[in-house]
Amino acid sequence: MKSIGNKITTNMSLFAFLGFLIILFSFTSEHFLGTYNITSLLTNISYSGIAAIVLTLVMISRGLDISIGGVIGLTTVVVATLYSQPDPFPVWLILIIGLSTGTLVGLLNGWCVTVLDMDPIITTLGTMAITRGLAYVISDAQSILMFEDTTDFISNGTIFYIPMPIILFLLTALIFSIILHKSKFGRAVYAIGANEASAKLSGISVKPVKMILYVLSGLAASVSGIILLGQTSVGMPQHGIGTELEVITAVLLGGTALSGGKGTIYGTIAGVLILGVLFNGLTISGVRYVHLQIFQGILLLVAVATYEIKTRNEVAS
Amino acid sequence: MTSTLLKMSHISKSYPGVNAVDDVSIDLYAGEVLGLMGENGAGKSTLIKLLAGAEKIDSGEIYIDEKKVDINSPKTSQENGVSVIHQELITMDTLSVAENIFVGQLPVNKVTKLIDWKTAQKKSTEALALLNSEINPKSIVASLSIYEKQIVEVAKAIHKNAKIVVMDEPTAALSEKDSKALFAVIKSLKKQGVGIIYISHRIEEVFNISDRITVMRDGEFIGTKLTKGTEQKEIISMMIGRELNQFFPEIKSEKKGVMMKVSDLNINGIIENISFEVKKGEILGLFGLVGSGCLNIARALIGVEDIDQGEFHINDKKTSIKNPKNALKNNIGFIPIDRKNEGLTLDFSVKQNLTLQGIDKLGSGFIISESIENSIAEKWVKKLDIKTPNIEVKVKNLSGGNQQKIVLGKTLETNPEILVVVEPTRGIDVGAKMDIYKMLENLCKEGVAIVLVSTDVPEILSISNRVLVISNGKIRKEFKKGEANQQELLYEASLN
Amino acid sequence: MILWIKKIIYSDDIVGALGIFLVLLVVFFSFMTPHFFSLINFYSIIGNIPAMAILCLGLTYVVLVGDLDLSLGSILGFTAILAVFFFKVMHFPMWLNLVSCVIIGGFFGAFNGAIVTKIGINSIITTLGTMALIRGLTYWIAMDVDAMEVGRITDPAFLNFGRYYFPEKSRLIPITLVYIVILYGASALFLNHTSFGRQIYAVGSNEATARLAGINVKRVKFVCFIIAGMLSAFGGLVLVAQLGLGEAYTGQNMILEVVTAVVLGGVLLTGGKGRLTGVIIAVLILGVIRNGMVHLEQVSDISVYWRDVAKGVVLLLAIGLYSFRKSFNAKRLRTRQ
Repeated sequence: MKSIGNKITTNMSLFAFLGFLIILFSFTSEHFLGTYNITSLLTNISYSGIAAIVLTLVMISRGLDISIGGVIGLTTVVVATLYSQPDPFPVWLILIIGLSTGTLVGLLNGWCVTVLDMDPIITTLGTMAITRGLAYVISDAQSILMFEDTTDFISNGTIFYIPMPIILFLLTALIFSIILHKSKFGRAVYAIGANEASAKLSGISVKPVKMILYVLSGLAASVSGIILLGQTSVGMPQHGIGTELEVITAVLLGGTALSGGKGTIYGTIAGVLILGVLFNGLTISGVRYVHLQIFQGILLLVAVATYEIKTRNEVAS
Repeated sequence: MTSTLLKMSHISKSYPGVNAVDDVSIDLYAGEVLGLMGENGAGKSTLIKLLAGAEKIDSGEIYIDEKKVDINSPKTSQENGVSVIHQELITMDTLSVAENIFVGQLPVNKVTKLIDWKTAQKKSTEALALLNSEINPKSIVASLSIYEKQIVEVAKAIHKNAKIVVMDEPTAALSEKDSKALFAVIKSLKKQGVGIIYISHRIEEVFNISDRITVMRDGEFIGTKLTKGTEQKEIISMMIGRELNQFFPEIKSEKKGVMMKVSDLNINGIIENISFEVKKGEILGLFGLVGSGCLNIARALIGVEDIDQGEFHINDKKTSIKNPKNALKNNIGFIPIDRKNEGLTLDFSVKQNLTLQGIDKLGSGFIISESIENSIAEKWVKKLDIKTPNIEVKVKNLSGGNQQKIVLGKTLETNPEILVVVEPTRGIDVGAKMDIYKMLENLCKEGVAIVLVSTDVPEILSISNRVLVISNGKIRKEFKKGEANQQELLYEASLN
Repeated sequence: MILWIKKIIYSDDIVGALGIFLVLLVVFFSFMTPHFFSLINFYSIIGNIPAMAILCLGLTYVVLVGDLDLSLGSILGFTAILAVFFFKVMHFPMWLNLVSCVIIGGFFGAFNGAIVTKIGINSIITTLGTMALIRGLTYWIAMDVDAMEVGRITDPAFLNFGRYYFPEKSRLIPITLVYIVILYGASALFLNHTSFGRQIYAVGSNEATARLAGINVKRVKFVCFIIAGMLSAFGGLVLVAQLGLGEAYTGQNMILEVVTAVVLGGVLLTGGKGRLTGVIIAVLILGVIRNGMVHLEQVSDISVYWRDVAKGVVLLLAIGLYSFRKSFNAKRLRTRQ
């Protein structure tokens, strides 16, 4: 009972904070509540939200993936480059290759962390550099334009007036919510994060589960990359710089603990929304990008500090 | 009438539901070795924790050199000259021997303010020499053997001018040769007037090295005897108090036949030529004291320990047990020794823990069926009489006994044919103990083969059909039910 | 041969292996490219490493104590802007400029240290946050202050701070090399031969035991973060002096290489172990790789951007190697229970 109670209060206060922000920004800017802005806001949220949702699972299992941004950049470059070839592959094949990029990086991350028992942070720091570097190599630091119907539809199209990215985001949230909270696999993820030794003794295949999580994380980053590609119509190696920090902040904001075993999809959604609304609201109210970075840093620290203090109080009582 | 070095007077300490230490008084003289003996759960470690300042006394006083002292933290304990050499060494492995000995207090040249390594090394060598050791003070501790690491800890204690040194199962991980060397070290410490409290299950050793022996049982002080002039069996009697027979009747099983056969299990340097059989419906007890190799054997049966040699035959079929998942597939269930860190996921609820080993059965597909999960959980709560407000409560909030029942229920859910149970009733109340014993009894009737690893003498004698005594990594002796009494069992296991 | 390689890999002293690797690299690049093996090129390599080397020294302090600091690149960047600001807007004399920047660097370090020790947040997350925070501040000042539009410092004294050579005529030894020697030398003395220095190692080796021995763990960690901050600031000053330029993006991607060099140099991420000699050789290794690849790019068709990929690969190999060694050692230490 108490645990459900706690969950409600954390998430409730998050959504309350979200509501507060929405009200605040509707006053500071007349455009905030306009259709255009809301659509734009939600689309941006979807972009990083998809990666955030999958990262939630990774972090609950006590792992981390800093290579998300690099994968995004690499994916946009790969897809755009393939498409600009003289006799390009069919679009569906190009998209599959694009998605494979992230999947392969995820496989590398997963292999290093599970088989070689390497530290996830340092590993994904390395793959971040490698993917970013490869993106520059392939594109030769040039931006590659790509106007294409399918990617355009993925990023800018609508179904029943709802933009595709939002639908993808909601779909991802729904699917992973079921996976995390209701499936056997999800139970294994929580178990591994809460107590890996016990999980192992309970017969849970820890290594395969972790491997799958890293692969999914890479795949999700590729999906985000394709959405970004469609939105901007250009493949650039600089795409995704800073996204990893954004995504990690959102997940931590949502109540997922770095020490593993705790976290919910709802929390991450709240975190993604708060961050998105905050950035959008500040931008539209005239605050400049550089200040946003400052806010992001502060928000991260404040959020983690709050959870840390709260946990300590719980343990004490 | 020599003055006492240490006097712990009417010390009591209790935890919720358990009187860990109940009005215990012990004393220690300078230059003497006091053996402290008692079974698991007798209260020895709690008493030492109080002396070391790791826990606070509920009531009673501690006197050092006849002066009352207030030990409320590890620091005050050390300042008063107490030093504890734990079983799990806490050396700083990446640093040198000299640095470990002088940690926090390295000698500094007054003029340059730089570390005076020469003095540190010289003094370290001197301290080590007092302990008959020639370890190079510049060696990195990580490269030392366990014995050498222990010596470093002892040297550290000496350097801190410890007057009272507590050694907790010091020979558990040592070879015979190293143990002898340790005894020589203890003798030199005695000569310097240090008082030593020596905790060990190995009765021969304690008789060898101690001047007096204090026995505790069930948190109470039973008595102190002069080592010279006392019989070993007398001490063992003092350690054992409970009557056996009223608890556990003979268990008769329906099924027959050998369930599992272990042949020539070998782990280099740890266990040697372990071979035994477990029959269906039988409880085979493995009895061995700390450092006997019993736990290594249990871990090999669960798939957690890498073995160098050996074969398992389950139902006459050769099987390998490579990891816990493998073991579960072979219908081997288990209760691990550390229920909090290995048996349970403390942050999970009762029902989540009960279903963790059998997640696959929680519904046919991908999704966990809440109704199946709930029914499984409720089934075990009822069957094992687990006292919990409901099945959603986090397991960390329950008492030890109920936690252990959950560990049991969790593994029973997978319908094991073989059950490896390690210290099943350690630290739990009598009521829960009985429930667990009854459950084991029922399992036997159903034909489950149970391997019971326990250092609780009455327990293992009462419910096992046979007991194998393990010592020094080998099987020493086999007792059938009724063939041995408590004294004999403990005695056999205490021999080398 | 394999046995010999195994011995080096499994041995405790990594410095020897690193030295050999460095030599092999130099040999490799000398053969593959015409101009690598020349005095001018060696000076070029040495000229490119000071800021890196100084930051690596700072990070070493933090890693030795068992933590991590990802904000060092941002502190360096902030210092770059600050130095320009002090020069252009405040017209500080050089010494005041230098001193103030280092002090402010220390202040950032203290901020990190306070959050890690007082509030108890994991240092990785903390410094991830401050990394963004400080970089944001850097851009803010760079963009909001008009005079900062061109981040040039033209004070010759200041420039000499980074560009001077000893002796005047023959220009043999760059002053930056002197900084490195002095800082590393002083740190070696401090870490290996002073009481506080050994406390740093003690805390990193076994925090609980150190606390039991009476060492003030929080204070030790706090000081290490401050030192890292101050050194990062100093590194920033050197870099600005060398470039004559301080921009908001300065140092933005440095942290990866810094972490790589420290890990490669044998400093254990769990703390308590690591030699400065290893770190400086690792810095040289990375410098040689970077420089060598530039030459390779000139004689072949390799894209310039493979350098970044190489950095990532080196990091993975370095940490992979150490993880492998760790698991090998763990297996040897079983006991009878």
